[in-house]
Amino acid sequence: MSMNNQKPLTELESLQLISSMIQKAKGGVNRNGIGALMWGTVVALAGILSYIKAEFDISYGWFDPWLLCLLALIPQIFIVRKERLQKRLAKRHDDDVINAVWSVYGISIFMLVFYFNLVPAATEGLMAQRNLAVLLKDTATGQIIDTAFYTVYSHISLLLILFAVPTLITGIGHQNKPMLIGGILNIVLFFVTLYTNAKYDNLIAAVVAIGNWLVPGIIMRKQYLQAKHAPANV
Amino acid sequence: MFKELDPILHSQLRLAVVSLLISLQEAEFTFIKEKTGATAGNLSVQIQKLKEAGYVEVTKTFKDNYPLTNCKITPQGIAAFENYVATLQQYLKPS
Repeated sequence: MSMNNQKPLTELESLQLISSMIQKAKGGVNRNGIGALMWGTVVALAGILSYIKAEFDISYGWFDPWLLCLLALIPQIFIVRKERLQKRLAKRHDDDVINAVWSVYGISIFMLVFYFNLVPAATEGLMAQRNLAVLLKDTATGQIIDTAFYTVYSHISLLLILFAVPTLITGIGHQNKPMLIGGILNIVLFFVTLYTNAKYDNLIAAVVAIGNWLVPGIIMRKQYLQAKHAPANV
Repeated sequence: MFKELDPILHSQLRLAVVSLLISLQEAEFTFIKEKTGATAGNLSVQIQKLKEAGYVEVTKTFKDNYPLTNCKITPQGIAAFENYVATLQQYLKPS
């Protein structure tokens, strides 16, 4: 149907045209996928490095691979800023809400990393005030291994809860199938981490990052580049 | 008795533009041109008609010295579109 031909429409043609344009609008607003690619890579890398550290008892010194997430927040701020400055060709009704969800997610990750790093020491201090201490004892030998054992148990599970929130909201809200599948896999793997050893949780987090963001990011990037290089007039 | 279809919307290109804008918060002229496959001149005329009817809001800005024309459906445009679809359904309902 040529749009330059202004012949009268039948009622059925009108309905078909409405339906086809709504579909075109839905499929026509592509994100560049850079943010998802970056998050996917950083979190997968952090998970793999943490697993290697735990499995092979390798020391990275002061460096905690999960700090990469904090580092990734800096380019993320620039990406969001650049996207805002570049007037996009079309904006969905829910774009502002989805962007707000991802911003709050970024802040929450920041807070959670602080929680992981500060709570053990804070717990130790609070217990010491009451003349109490948590000890780690080898039940086979009866030997005290650690005289101040403070940790956040299964901390990766907490991260996975947080990872699922923006991913599923984007997956459902934007009908982004890869992110929806990633988000569902995220939930399943969250339950798995409740029963697995902490070192394997790191590997699971890497798998979740690949499913949640890296794969959807690659798909989004491909679709974005295809749309960008498509001929202007259909 | 069937209601008459809104003549502003009962035109191929104008209906395509409004159907596109109903799903979006706003869209740039080139995006609408690409999705409808219309020529710039024809599209410009039809958008102007929609603007005059109060169905579409048009804002013009500049980016790197290039003009940007953003189109957004107005509440009046949404009401007219809903009305148009309801009338269409009336026509298509088996009697």
